Amino acid sequence: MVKQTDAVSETLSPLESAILEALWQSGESKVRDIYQKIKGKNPCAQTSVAVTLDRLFERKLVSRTITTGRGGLAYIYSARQSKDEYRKSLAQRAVDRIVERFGESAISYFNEKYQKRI
Amino acid sequence: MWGMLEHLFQGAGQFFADPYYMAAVTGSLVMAIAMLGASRRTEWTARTRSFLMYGHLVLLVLPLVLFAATLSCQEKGICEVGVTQTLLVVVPVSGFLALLAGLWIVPLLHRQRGLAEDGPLQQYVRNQAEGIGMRVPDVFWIDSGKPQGYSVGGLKPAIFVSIGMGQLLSRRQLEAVLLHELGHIREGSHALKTLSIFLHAWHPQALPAPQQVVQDEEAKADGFAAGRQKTRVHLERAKKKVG
Repeated sequence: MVKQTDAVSETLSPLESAILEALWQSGESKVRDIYQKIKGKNPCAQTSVAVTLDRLFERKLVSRTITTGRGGLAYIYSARQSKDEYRKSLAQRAVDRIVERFGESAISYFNEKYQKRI
Repeated sequence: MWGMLEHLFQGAGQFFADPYYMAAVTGSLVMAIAMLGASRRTEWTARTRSFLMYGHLVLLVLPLVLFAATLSCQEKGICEVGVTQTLLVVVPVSGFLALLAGLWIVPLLHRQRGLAEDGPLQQYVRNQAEGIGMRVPDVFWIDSGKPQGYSVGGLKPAIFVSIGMGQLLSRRQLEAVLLHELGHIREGSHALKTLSIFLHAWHPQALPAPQQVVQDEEAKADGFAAGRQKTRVHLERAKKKVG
């Protein structure tokens, strides 16, 4: 059995990971909703959540739409990929990098190592 | 090139020998220094201080323009004086005009990036501006999740607030930010900040550091916002939230 670690928390900062987890659980959310959801386990300021969400948006990990509310405009954020899709894309990128670097050696290693499992 | 230098030296000799020109140059430079000194007075409004800084620049350039105008061809045929005159006049004057135009062009560029606000924020700013008899600035949203707020002056003043800022602050805190920016527009801080950066690079010892000018202007804008809201609580909380 191959030991699995949480790929999401390994590739993102703790706050980024918490925000994405919250979005995967709740679906579309505003900054304040996400902050309320994560502040118990991840003590941080609401500003940090807003700035981190903006960074995740720039990295194309979350999408956002603008809505008009009572106080003006607001963003509604959602994750671009499901958790499984995200994990899969991470795995793809990691494997592609290894194959790119080691070529045939990497492919034959994967064959030998995982043939039985497939 | 040599022809230009020759004309310059010849022209300079004649120019400095003329007592009327010398009086004009001395007067201009003395006035320029006096205006620079007066522009340091922080008790005056930013608009007055900016005017004095512009005046200082104009009076610095004036002797050069006067000198260029006195240059003339000493001989018939191809004359390089035109090139010399053009360089002497066009370079400083265009620099001065660019500085002036920047104050109008930059706001226009910012406006193109913003999303026009015609809701409660614009209404609030309109009420406040009309209440103190100043021109109503337009309010724009910036499409960014980071908390940001700033304003531009010039002919068409505007206030910009990021959507991230709007989501982060309470209504009263957001109003405090709008009032702070309104304070900058009312005071005319934008021109003063730009000019002090430019002039400080030109002669660093003669002016307070631009950081000092910015600090003074921020304190004045804070005072304006607190005065309008009759409390500093919302402004301070907004600052604490935004960091």
